[in-house]
Formats: sequence, structure tokens, C-alpha cells
Amino acid sequence: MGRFWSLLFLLVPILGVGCFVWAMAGLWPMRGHWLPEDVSSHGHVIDGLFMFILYLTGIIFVATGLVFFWFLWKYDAAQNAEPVRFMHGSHTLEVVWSIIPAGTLVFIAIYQMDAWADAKLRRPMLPGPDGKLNTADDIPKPPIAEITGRQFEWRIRYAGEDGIVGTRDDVQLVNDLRLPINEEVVLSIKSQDVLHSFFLPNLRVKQDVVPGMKQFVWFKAQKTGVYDIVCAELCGWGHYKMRGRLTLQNRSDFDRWLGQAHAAQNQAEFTPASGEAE
Amino acid sequence: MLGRLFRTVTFGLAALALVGGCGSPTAKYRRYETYVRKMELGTGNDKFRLSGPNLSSVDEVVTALYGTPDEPALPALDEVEVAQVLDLAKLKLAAGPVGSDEQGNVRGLYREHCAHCHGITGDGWGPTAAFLNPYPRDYRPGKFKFKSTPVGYRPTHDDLKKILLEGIPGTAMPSFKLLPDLEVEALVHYVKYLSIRGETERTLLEMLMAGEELTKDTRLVTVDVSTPELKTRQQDELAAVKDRVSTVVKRWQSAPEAVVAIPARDSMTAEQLDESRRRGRDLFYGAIANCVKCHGDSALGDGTLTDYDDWAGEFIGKGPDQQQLIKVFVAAGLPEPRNIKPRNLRQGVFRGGLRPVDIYWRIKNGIEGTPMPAATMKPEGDASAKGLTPTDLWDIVNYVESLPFESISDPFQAVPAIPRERL
Amino acid sequence: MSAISLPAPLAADHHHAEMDVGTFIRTYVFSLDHKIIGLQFLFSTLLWFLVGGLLALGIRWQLAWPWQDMPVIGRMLFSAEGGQISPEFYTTLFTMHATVMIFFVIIPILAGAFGNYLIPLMIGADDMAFPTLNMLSYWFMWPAFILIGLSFLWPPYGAGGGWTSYPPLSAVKEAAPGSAFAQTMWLLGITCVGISSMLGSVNYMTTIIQMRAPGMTMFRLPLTIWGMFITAILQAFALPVLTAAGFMQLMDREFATGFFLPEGLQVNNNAMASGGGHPILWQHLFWFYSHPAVYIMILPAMGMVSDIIACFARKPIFGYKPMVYSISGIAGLGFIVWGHHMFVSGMNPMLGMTFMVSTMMIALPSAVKTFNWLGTVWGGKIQFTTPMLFALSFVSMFIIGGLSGIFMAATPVDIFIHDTYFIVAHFHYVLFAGTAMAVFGAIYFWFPKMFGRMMNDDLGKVHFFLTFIFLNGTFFTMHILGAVGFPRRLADPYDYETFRHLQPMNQFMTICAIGMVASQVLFAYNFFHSMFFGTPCGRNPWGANSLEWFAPSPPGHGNFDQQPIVYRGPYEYGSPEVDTDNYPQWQPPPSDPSRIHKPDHH
Repeated sequence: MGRFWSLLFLLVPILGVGCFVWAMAGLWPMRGHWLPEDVSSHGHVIDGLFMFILYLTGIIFVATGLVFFWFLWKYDAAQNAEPVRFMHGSHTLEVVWSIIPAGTLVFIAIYQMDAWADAKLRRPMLPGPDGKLNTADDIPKPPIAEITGRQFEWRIRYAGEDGIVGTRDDVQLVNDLRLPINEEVVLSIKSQDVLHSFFLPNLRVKQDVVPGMKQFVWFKAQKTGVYDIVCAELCGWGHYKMRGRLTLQNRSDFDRWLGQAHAAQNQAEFTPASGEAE
Repeated sequence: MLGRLFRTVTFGLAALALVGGCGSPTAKYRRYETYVRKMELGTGNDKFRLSGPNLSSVDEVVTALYGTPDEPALPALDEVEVAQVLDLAKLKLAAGPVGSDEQGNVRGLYREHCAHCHGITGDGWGPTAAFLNPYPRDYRPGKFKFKSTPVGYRPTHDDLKKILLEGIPGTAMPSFKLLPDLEVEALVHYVKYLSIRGETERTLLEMLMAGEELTKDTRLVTVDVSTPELKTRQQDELAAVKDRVSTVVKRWQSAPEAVVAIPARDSMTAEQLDESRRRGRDLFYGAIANCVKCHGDSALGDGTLTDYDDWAGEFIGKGPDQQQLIKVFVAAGLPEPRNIKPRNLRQGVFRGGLRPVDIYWRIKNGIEGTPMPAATMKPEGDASAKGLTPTDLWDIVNYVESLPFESISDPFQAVPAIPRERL
Repeated sequence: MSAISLPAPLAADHHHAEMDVGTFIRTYVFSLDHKIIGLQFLFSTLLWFLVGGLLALGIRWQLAWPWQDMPVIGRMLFSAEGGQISPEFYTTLFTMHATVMIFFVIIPILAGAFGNYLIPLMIGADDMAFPTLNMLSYWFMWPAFILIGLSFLWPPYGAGGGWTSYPPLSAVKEAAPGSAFAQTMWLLGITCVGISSMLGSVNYMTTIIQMRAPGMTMFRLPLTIWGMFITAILQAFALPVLTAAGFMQLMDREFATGFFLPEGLQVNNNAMASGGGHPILWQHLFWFYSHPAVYIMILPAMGMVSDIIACFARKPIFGYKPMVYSISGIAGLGFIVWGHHMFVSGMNPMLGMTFMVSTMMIALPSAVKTFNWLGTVWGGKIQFTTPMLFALSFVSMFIIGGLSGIFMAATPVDIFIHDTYFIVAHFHYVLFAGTAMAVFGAIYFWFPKMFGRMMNDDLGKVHFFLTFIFLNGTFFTMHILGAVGFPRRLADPYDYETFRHLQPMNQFMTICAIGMVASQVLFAYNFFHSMFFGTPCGRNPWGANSLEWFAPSPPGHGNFDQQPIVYRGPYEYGSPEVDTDNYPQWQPPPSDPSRIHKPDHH
């Protein structure tokens, strides 16, 4: 039986790697079972890190898995006539297998700090009074819209013509976020009631929305299309309902649409349609 | 001995699992218990109860007319074409358990998206309802708040659809904008269907009560047709039922005719707008519009706080026995009534929508089922009569629109976003 | 203390033929004997294990066939709604699944059941240092069982704020159906579990420090005991924080103190009166306990696995001291990594960088332990018994669970995979494929000691095989879902375009999960059947070295019939000093000086 069990444990690295490779290749029945399409300018960094860690851990996974299998296979009591190696360990080995992983882990940690800072610390800036970017008087780019999570929808408020959120010319919408592509977009996110999490899978953006805090997320989209806004933090019984739609458009389409939305919101006349009153 | 015990326990568990697992019951519409109770109390006799046959005769007729939650049907009426109001094909998309049929068409949209709150019957009492504030709408009285028609009229198809698409801010009703149009349409039809079904149930209960000599064996429609006399009687009763159902359906059919048109708002300069708001403010506090009575001195919605809406009010009334009636009807299944609060106009949250036309409709038409009354309009050509003109209404709209941006509403709102430095 | 005194006489071994009610209650209900208390913990936790497993099936059902009539439970609870489970019941399902599994199963089965049973036996003591405290630690679980049980009785049938109970969702009663009555029960219940753990941990520390048998130095303790010891220390230092946080949330709920509630909340159309607090404070306090708790949930398992592997590899554990140091290292670092649960929570991103480094470092002692297990197997004579299979699977699965942790530790990657099924996969590999499998192994291993009879090995292997296959089918696929960004805790994820195509995969997982729960019937049968009809065994059926095998099976009150004297560490398998392949701790060294083994120094 020892042979059988050794082989069972050999299946772990084989099927494990197989499962990932199959999903990455997107073959039936796992079509689209991998990182969703990335349409952001920074997403490839996150995906790259994911893949880097995947390869690294994959190698360790396969190596330890094979060694484990080989030991089980070879030292099965029913097959192995040699006496037990009576030993209590090896100081050298302990040092080796402490230092190598430690170095690798520290490397990973330091290697990715820049990506983290880009995503969460370095907000896009606009030139300050001196008209030049990257000087001391730069001002942070103002948000194009404010997104308020509430049970269970995303309330969206575009800054409108004056560029300031919270004034009368704001355009207010629900669950339907549209943004221009090919430019840095800053969104201000907040919550009215409980924790939510603003998750854009295709833009590799996620930020918990905390009541009492005003936070900013920023990204640059590179492709037009329609994508999901997901709530990724439990927010109550209707958590699953809290779905938004992100439409990425060219700047001109976006401006036109925003104008239409503004007009629709200010509808101040109503004539019953003749078709309705039969 | 122990071995036998093991065997018995194992068999027992297996049997329990089988009994428990075999087939969930099919979904059923819930009887309109609160209305039944109201009918019973209406006799003036506290002890009076409708009998099982009385009630099941009504249930049977309603089922014959409208089918079941899994298999909806439409009543065949001579006077009105029900299909003009309800589309059976669309209803079938919304009805039934969640899933899809053999062709891959979706089914059970209502149970997927709505039934948790509004209940299978549309009684506003799904499993989640008790936890929501305000309670989800009970469709059965046929009353809806946010619509383009005046109080007393049914909403139009488009009114309901707008609610589904935009949701109702300030309540638990979310937006269903992201569903395909066909699915939203199906759901609107299903809401109308449940509403018409509920109204029918009410009117048939009234018909039952209106009949002469109500005994324990009285049936809404005679079943026993052994004599020609009885047969005639049955036909009369059926005609009466159809008549009542037609009345219900006609109200929905004619809703579009009742839509209130809104004259265009004048375009104004900043000074004119200020002037208009000032006039609106005066009207707000004035005797004719008298908004201040409920919405309060500072428009914070703290004027009158003790009213109930009609969904509770039609049962519990306003009389001295209100507390007693609350107990009676809560026992019959009425959600524990909560006071209805006038809107806090300073939050910038307008449930019926924030377009100027939406606010105009609310003021002009009132809000069905709530203490918010329709505006008293000045009869045309009679300048001396008391009442409001469309211009007055626009002045009030302008004033209401400006309230959330007054500095006392939210001192933080209008301040430019100053980014907080993280580093 | 009594470690040096002679053990109590063991007359009480075979006299329970005639037993009056008072004696019965003293012996089996309010017992002061650590072994009975251990078994009480074992039976209670196994019962809750069943409850937790069924709750998991409810979750899986909804994810595979959302809004379809749920078998049995749907019919019982939601007949009016056509048997489909309501969305708030779904939140209850995953909240209570986690709560039950963590607080009622894993923590008490490791510390309560095995800690209690094994500590005095393995260190050669006649009982715990504080037997009454020990009894109380079990009976404080009961208020928790009752409180949490009560919350199941009314809609929505349990708390629904997630097991992490993040405010405001959990602290504001109006925020969620489960946050009303059930959340209060939850908080009080968790507090009782905390008291129970605290009583246990004080006892374990004292017992291990004070009551070791003569010759049992700290570095002769089996690794199980080291795991329990470090766990006890972790609990003693981390638990007060959770208890305090729990009370703060309770105060927020009942007295509107507003520790965790900011100003201006508008929840479910109610404006909250209180303010001035911050929701993230709770997350800090909660994870300050709950991250060390992750190690509370695995260190004892690691210890038990080390003992089982050494026993069935018939070879000394590889690197005993590095193993001890890495357990201690994990415990120490465990206190400074809690922030990695909060990378995207709104916590200062600078802090995220700090926590990333400490989190990366905690992978190191885990790696060292894994390499040492591999080293132990190398060159041994492996007996593939049921306990050994479970222990080996622990190692194999822990590699997966450990490596997937590195993804989350990397902050930029965590932006994408936080709160997705990747996380769910990770902690199920650690807690189910890791700890629960180790617990199964431990039950098969120590069952002969507990009941004096062997469990059926063939049946055990079938149980292992099925569980192993099904658990990988259920949990490995979760990594793939996580890579797509599939979020946790959604009652109906298929509303989202991005995740719609993942339903068949979820159905596959659900089928595996049903298979996994069904396989446990074999275990239950084997367990109860063997208790009465298993092959009787002697004192040391596995030929193991540690002291518990010196006592009779099952040990009577007072444990040992002779005072054990300890001559060496617990892993001297295959020693040249003796002819047998085991060399128990209590066996005196050979009288012939030429046989004394001179260890070569590495």
C-alpha cells in the first residue's frame, strides 16, 4: 500500500500544477478561469507580481512535492530493508534552508513596494501655480466624481461644470459609472452606512469604503468597454445585489453623455406621450 | 444490543433525510388575512369570523382567475382586454422558481430579485421585509407612491419602470438598471399582475360580504347547479365577479390618461431665480401650501410625526381604538405599524426622483397613501379664488431644490474637496 | 509540586459496575479528571463539527444552484417562499459556519480536547495543576453553546455580520437582520469561549512549567506539548484584546457608546445618534487577537503531526530544537502581522508596507518546519497507518496553504485577491486540509489510549482517501476562482458578468463538498463502533516513545501506576542503544556502557 499512498501524494503537485496550467491556457471547461482582462495602465504590474509569485511558489511547490513523494516511495517500510538513519538533524541544513527563503521573502517584499506606492500613495498631481508638474507646489488632481456606497447600491455624483462635488450642478446617478479613458482618473469614495469595498476587477482596483473616511482611488483606463463594479466587503443581506456598471468611453463620448445626463436630470417639463394615452 | 441501536439510529436518520429532502412544496399565494379581518370587523360584531368555506370559495375564484405563483394566468373578461395591461408571455418570465427553461430562457425573475422583500404574494412581507425601514411596498391595495398620475389613480407602466430602474433613494429599494430591458419589463408586468390580483382579492372579499344572508356555507360563486334556478344564480354571480374584475383592470388601463402634464419651467437669470425661491419660501410657510405643517419649521421633516401611512392606516384608522386595532391586525399579519415621517428636505435625497418634474409631481399630485396632499390649485380664470398656480408650484420646487445647498443643511457639503495628504 | 510526589493509588480502575447518581455526575459530568474533560471537549466539538459542516453545505448549495429549493433546511425554514433560502439566511450561513468551526471546533478541539487529554499524560503528571479551573473551562463552553444555539432559533437564524463582525454592520442593529438579537448572542457567546480558553491556557502554562515528571526537561517535551505551551501563551496575551473589543462592540450596540461608529451614519433610514469612533479600530483590535488565533489553530496541530510522523517514520524528528524555535518564532511574529488582513481596509498604506515585511518573515519559520518534516521522513522506515496518512497529508496540504499565503502578503497582489476565493482557498488549506486533517490523524493515533481499543485501520484509510480527494476537489479549485476575482460572501455571484461563467466550477466544488461531508459518516461509524467493538489494545500499540504510552489504556484517575522517570527526549526511534526500534522516554539506559550512543555533532 505504501506505493499507492506515495503516488497519491505525487498527484498533489501534478494535479495542482495541471489545474493552474489548464486554467491559464483557458481550455474547456475552464475557459476564462484566469485573471480577468486588464484594461488599466498599472494592472500589468500587479498581474506581473502575481505571476512572479506564482512561478516562484510553483517551483517550491513542485520541488517539495517531488521530494516528499520520493522519500515516501523510497523509505516505505515494506520496501526498504535498510536500517533507519538515526540522526537528529543537521545544523548546516537548517542554516541553509533558513537563509535562502529569508532572502527570497525579503526580496519579494522590497520588490513590490513601488507598485504598492503607485496604487495607494502617489495620487496623480496637477501643476500648481507655477504651471510646472513635479514641483513643490503641485496640487492633487481633484476627483471627477464622488461614489457613495449605501446598502445596496453605488450612488454616483459627478462634479459637473464647476469641478466641485457637492454643488447644484452635480450629475447624480446610481450604479452607472462612466469614465473617460487614456487619462488619470481620480474618484473620491465614501460610505453612507456600513463598510463596502469598491472593486473594479478589470482595473485591478480595490479599496474598502469606510464610513467617516473620505478616500481616493485613481487609475488610468486604456480601453473602452463595459465592466463590473463589485462590492467586495460584506455589507449586509443584499451584498450580492450591490453591483455597478463601469462604462469606459473616449473623452468626447464621455462629455457628450455627461451633458445628456445633466439635461435629463434637469427635465422641467412633461407632456404625456400620445402613445401612452391610447 | 448496541449493534441494534446503531442500526435503528442509522435507519431513522436515513428516513428523516428522505422525508425532509423529497420535494419542496410548491409556492402558494398567501391569503389576504388582514383584509379578511377588516371585513369581519366591518360587520360590527367582534366575534364574527368568516368560515373556511367562505374564504376558500374566494381563494378558488382568485386562483381560477390568476393561476398560481408557478403558473400565472389572466382572467378572460368581456369588457376589457386584459392583455393590454398585462403581457402573459412576460409574466411567465417573471413567475415560477428561479432557473431557466429548456430553451435557456430565464424564469423566476421575481423570486430571484423581488420576493425576498415583497413576498411571493406581493404582500410586502417576504422573509427580509421585517428588517427593512421603510417596509417594502404591499402591492395588493394597488396604491403606489411615486407616479405621474394623481392620488386615486393607478401608476403608469413607465412610472413603475422608472422605480425599478432608478431604485428609491433613502429606502432599501435598489436600482435594477443593469438587468436587460426585457427582464425589467417582465418584472414591471409581474408587479402589475400581483397588484391587480390583490385588488381583485379585496373586491371579491367585499362582494362576499355584500351578499345577502351570509352563512357558514355561503360561497362566492355557487358550485351546486343541480337546478336551473341555481344555474342562473351561478351565472349571475360569475357575471358580478367579472364585472368587479373589469373595474379593477380598467383602472390600470386608464392610468395613462390621467398623467399630469407639467408646463415648462421658465428659464431664469440668477436674480429671478433668487426671487422665485423667495416666493417659494413664502408659499412653503404660507397658509395655502402650508408645507411647514408637516415638514417642519426648518424643513427637517420634523413637523408632524404621529401619522401612519394608508397601508397600515386603512386597518388601524385614527380613532381612539387605534392601539387595540394595531394589536388585532398585527396578529392577522400586518407589519408592526411605524409612524410615517415627512421628508427631511435638507438631505438632498428625494425618493421619487430629483428631476424638477419629479418634485413638481409630488407637490401637485400629492403622494398616494401618505398624508402628503395634492396641491390646491387655483381654478383657471378665477383670480380671486384661493389656490396655487403652476408658477407658484415652480417657485416651491425652486425653493425645495435649493434647500440641501443652504449652509445649515450640511456645512461640509458645499466646501470644495480638500484632499487629505496621506504622506 | 505534585510532579515529585508519588501518584495517587489507582484503585479506581474497574469499579464502576455499581455507581450511584452522585458518583456518576462527579465522574463523567462535573469531572475534575483532565481525561474526562478532554473527552467532553472532544465529543462536544465533534458534534459542532457536524453542525459547521452542514452549514457549509448550505453555502455550497446556494453557490452552485442559487435560489433553488434547498433540500431539508429550505423546506423547514422558507416553505412560504418556495424553499429558496433568503439572502440574509445566506449571510447567517457563512457567518455561523466560520464561527462554529473556529470557536466551537478548531480552538476547543486542539487546546480543549487534545491539550487537556495529552498534556498531563505526556509530561508525566497525574492531572492538571488546577483541576477545578479545568472543569470550569469546559463548562464555560456551555453558555457559549447555548447563546449561539439560541441565536439559531429566530429569523434570520443566526448572526449575519461575518465571523469578523466588522462594524458598523454588526454594531448597528438596524444594519442587518442578523445584527439585531443574534449579534448580541454572538458577542456574549464568543466572550464565554474566551473565558474558557483563558482558563485553559493559564492551566496549561502552569502545568507544563510546574508538573513535569522527574527528568522531563523543557527540551525533552514532545513537540505536541511545545505547540500547546506556545498556544497557551498566545491565548493568554491575545485574548484580553478580543474580550475588550467584544465588550466595546456590545456597549456600542446597547449603550450607544460609539467606539466604532463615525458621525453622520445613515443606516437603513435611521440616523445614528452616536459618533466619534472609527470602524477600523475594531479591525485592529479584532485581528490583534484573530491573527495570533490563526496560529492558535495550527501550532498544536503541527506539534501533533510531528509526533505522529516521527513515530511512523520510526526515526527521530529532524531538527528538534529548530522546530521549537520556529514554533516560538511563529508565535512572536504572529503578534506583529495582524495588519495584513487590512491592506485595503483604509488603513494608512505606509503601515501596509511594514506589515508586508513582517508577514513575509513569518513564512520563514513555517518553511523551516516543513523542511524538517521532509528531513524526518528521509531515511526512515515509513509505516503507512491511518494516523500517518493524515499527518503526511497535513504536510502536503500545509505546503499549499503556506505558499498561497505569500500571494496575500504581497500588498499589490492583495489589492486584487483580497476578499476573493483565493483567500478562502488559503485558509481552508491551512485550517481544514491542515488542522482538521491533523486532528483526524490525532484521533486515530490517540484513540487507543483514550478508549483502550483500536480504530479500524482499513476503514480509516478509506475515510482518509475519500476526504483527501474531495477536499482537494473542493478547495484547490477555489484558487482558480480567486484568480478571476470571485468575491467571498456573495449570495448570488452570477449577477455579475465577470463571474457568470464560473457556475459550473462551483457546482463541481459543491458536489465534492457533499462527498466530503458524506465521507465523514465512515469516520463517525468507525469512531463509535470502535469505542465498543474495536480490537482491545495494550499500553503502547504503536510502539511510541512519549510518556502517555507508559500509562494504561485508558489511563485511570491519576494516570500512571508508577511514577515515570524520564531519561531522554521523545523521538529516539531506531536508537543503537536498544534492540527495539523504539526507545521510550521512561526506559532506563542500557547497563552495558559500550552500548551508550555518542551523538556526533552537526
